[in-house]
Amino acid sequence: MNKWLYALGVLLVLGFGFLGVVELNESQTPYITSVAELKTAGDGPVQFVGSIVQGSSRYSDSSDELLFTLKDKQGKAVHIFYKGVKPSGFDSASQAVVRGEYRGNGFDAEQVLVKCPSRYKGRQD
Amino acid sequence: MPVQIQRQAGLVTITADNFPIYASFLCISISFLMYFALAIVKKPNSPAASLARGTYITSLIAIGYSTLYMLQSILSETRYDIAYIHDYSGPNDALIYKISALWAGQEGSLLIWTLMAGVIGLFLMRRLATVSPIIMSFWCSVQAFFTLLLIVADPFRKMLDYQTGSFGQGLNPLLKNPWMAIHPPIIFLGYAALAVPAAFAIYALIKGNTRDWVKLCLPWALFGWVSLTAGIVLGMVWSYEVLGWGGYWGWDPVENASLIPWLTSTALLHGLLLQRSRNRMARANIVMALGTFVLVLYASFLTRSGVLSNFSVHSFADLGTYSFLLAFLVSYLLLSIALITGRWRAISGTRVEDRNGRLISRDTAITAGVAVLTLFTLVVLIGTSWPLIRQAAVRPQFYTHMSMPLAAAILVLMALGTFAAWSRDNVIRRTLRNRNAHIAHIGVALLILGVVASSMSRLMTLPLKTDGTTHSALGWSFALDRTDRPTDTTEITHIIMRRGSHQIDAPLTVEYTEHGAVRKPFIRSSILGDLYISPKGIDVPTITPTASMTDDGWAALPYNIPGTGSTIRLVGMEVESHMARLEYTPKNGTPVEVTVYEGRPAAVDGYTFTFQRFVSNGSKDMATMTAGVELAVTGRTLAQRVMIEVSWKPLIWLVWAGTALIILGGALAMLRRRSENAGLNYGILPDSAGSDGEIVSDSRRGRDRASKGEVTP
Repeated sequence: MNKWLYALGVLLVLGFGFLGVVELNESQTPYITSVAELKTAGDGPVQFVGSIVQGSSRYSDSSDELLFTLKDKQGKAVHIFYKGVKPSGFDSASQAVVRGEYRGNGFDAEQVLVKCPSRYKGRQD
Repeated sequence: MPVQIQRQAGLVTITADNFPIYASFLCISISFLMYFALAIVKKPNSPAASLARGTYITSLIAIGYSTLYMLQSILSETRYDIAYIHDYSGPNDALIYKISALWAGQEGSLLIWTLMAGVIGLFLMRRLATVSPIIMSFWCSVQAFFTLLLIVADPFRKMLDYQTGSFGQGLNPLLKNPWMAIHPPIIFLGYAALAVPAAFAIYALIKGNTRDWVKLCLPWALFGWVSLTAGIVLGMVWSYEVLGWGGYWGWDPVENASLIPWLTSTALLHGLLLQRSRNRMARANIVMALGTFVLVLYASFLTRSGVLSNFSVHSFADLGTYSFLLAFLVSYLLLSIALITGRWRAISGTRVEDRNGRLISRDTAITAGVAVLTLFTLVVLIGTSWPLIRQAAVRPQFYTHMSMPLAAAILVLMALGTFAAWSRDNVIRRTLRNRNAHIAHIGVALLILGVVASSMSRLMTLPLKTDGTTHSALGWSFALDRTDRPTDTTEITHIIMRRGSHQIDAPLTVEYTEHGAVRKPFIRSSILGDLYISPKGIDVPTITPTASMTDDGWAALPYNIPGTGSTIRLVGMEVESHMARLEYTPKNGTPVEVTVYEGRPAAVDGYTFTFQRFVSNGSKDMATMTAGVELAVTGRTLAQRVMIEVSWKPLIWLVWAGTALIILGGALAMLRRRSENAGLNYGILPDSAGSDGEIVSDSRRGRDRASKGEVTP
């Protein structure tokens, strides 16, 4: 009787582990910091971080579309397209993390996370 | 990363401010060495013992003094030359938020953590020092580690570019919430107390006695667990009421960092109770006690070292503590592994079979529950660490999908454990005896029910305008009423909600601060659920008065505020200090001069101008160069547009009721276990597991005796 119980337990844990591997593969979004990498990343959603190019953002009130440009550390730019309400704090943000897919001519974001402006930048010691 | 507070650890400098921290480090190091020596030579009454105690108390006094000194410096409003105080407090903050500034940042929270751990160590020392220098030397080593971190991430570090007379920025307005004000110290109290089981486990391993520590550390484990639970719940309430994203748990690394030790300590509690009554899970408990401690360190490493700063918008930045945190984490991990593997054979428990030998019993349910909690820990641990493993973030769906079968298993096991006990005789007596566990388990069930119910929320986004149009959603109609401006930096937009003859005014508060705009949701709670209205975007029109370069300096170009007839001119700006001087001329009026600083909006004639940024046309040619300042204008006549997100969250109060019951059950259990230990003579801790113990030989007798406070065999 006890043996069966252990076997059942092991089976459940194995099944759960399998589920874990599947879910992990499905939900992971590679983290990318350069535009060059972005272009070779292949299909599937990725996460990209860059600094917002000042004055590049356009927001349409009527259709809730946000367009802006992100620049990586090498200075390479990529256009971001986001359908949705402009995230709060976007206008004063210096950096953004976007999650979505790169599609040849631009980045289709499903989520835009805004990093707060760094007022401490100048205070390195 | 130019994102967050970037400060490298400078050269170590002792100042009048941070001197006590250095003194504390010196004392705690001496204390550690003395206790360590005592653990080896075993002379409890030697002068070394009083030296160990004396230096421990001195180090604690020094940390306590530092904490009070920090508090006093914050309250004095004159010490904004200290970077920490400058960053986290300001003269306009309410008293409670000046106090909470003490732990709003990394350095301050470390100070509080060290202080709390130090006080807990005092309790341990009072009862245990002469008995077990092992426990105290472990405790001192941890204290020394924290104090060293305080030296590296100095809370009293001075600002290099401090301008005499300038004020602090004030507490981040998101943290200005009563829940958030008390959340950190409660979490840290939990973390500090959860190191006690680890200290006892190390003692048990070294002594080869894996039985007696269980009883001693149960109240501490429960205390730490209750604190951690309460702290996490406070964070959830804050997230729900303030952040306005509509949820209470986002599987963010910072949240997960506290959930991981919570899960392992929950498992530990169950294991300890099972070992206490049946001497089962002796090895597992040692592993879980040390594991919880190491995972608390790991959680601090994840959130304080900056390793995840690319993956979370919340994670703390690195203050130069990365290598220290990693070194300590690895040391304690290796120490734990070495002790456990070295003592593996010596620490097994004697298995006491269930009296009826039944397959489904309270014992098997608890054992399986511990296994499920361990799996849960692994899920959160792997998910949170994934960015370090694969340079990839894990979306929240991973956690929600994985926790579904786990939650189902927990519900089944809780039911099995309860009903297995019910089928025996003395149902009522048993139920009453385990009432604390039942309260907590009902809480867990309600929590899971609440999580599931509230996740079936319906969400709609509505664009509202001042033109009076209404939108319907979730059975209500919504219209934008008006915007009030009670202070220069606060705007309250009133939304009118109607259903039949029922009318509700929903105020949405937006605060413009140095840290950006802060928008708070409006929540209307009822027994059926919450109506949650979150301002997604309150579009504030901007104007950009500019000036062009001429031979005589900047010349302002006239700028009309659209649709008003008023004009505004940029007459001067200082890029360095983020200041712009403007001349405002009302229609048919006389010009007024207004000065706008970043973070300090100026009000004139019913308008409020808020500095956004400097702009220029980028021209290098003097003749065509223009520069200007972008200002946000909030005012009486400008058209306004508010995007709101409306959602209905069914039965979400079950989440709060459930967590309240979990905390209540845990707190009652802690009081019960504490009173059981009240008559316990800590001096009886035997050296080896040879003597026939009261708990092992007869679990029922042992338990009855324990409740009377008799423990001696």
